Amino acid sequence: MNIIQLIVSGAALLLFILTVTMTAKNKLTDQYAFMWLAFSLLGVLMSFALPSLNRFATALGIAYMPSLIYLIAFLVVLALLIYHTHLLSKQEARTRVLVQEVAFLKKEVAEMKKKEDRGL
Amino acid sequence: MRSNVLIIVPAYNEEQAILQTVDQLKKFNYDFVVINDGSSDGTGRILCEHNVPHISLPVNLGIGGAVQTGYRYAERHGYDYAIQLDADGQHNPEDLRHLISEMERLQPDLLIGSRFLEKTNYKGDVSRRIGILYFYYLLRLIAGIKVTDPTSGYRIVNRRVIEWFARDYPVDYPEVEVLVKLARKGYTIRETKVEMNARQGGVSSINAQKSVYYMAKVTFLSLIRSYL
Repeated sequence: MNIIQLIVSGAALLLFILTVTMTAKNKLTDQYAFMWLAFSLLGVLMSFALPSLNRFATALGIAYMPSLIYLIAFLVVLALLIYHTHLLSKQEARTRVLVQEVAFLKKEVAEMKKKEDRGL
Repeated sequence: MRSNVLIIVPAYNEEQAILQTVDQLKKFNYDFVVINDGSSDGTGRILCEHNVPHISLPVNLGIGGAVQTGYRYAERHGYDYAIQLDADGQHNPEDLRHLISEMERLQPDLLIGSRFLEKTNYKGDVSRRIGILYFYYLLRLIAGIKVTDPTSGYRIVNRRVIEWFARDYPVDYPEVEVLVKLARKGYTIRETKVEMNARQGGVSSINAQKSVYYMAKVTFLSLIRSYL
């Protein structure tokens, strides 16, 4: 194992520990905890597979292997961004419904209070 | 007796105009509800003090969310028709009876109060008219309908559309997008002449930069949601 492999596996391990800690403290919900655990384990696997990536890059016609890693990283980050934008849109729609429901309830409570005051 | 028509008045920071609009509405025997869209000025206080029927959104949802709140309210309370009317005094309440009678006579799903169907006193600036013309051709092209005033917010819808809007309504700049959606689903859209006034207070939410965004966004989303 060379130095770069050690650095990559160390970084992936740190990510793994961070994910486990945050999951244990309920700072990540199940769905995201699982996703980040999978990413960190993938990082560890990648560190071992680094030498074979050279052959894979050559097979794809990429002369400089780190370019392949950048490409993979870019595609993963792009996919993550789209996924999170999708989640954000969903949350926004849900928040809108919640805000409307709160407003309806506030109106109902105000009307009930008015009726009660009149009755007293 | 409760009317079968609900007038939805979305209001965001309209403390200068809201009372005048409400006073005019009170002359008619129709139910109305002001949707206070998280205003940061005195709109909410004025509505409470003057006992105006209203729903106060705890945060600002934007025009789409505010108007949809009105449609959801109309759906829950079983109204047959719902009319959107701006709080800034641009829409003339004197046209309400005309809108409702035309709705009952023509029986479309949505009836738009148009400034351009016949000659009216409306004087809009050139850029606004260019925008309206752009949407006129966009609607002809992608929805196959001729609407002379596609950005008019003064419109009346029937129960079927109320139920649709309660479920699904665009977040911002909804006027043109909903016309595309309805037309492509086979809903009938008609227009009738109305008069519009200059706004009595507040500032328009659409400036030069926003109008470019408005046109691009509506075109893009309408095309995608129509054909995919």
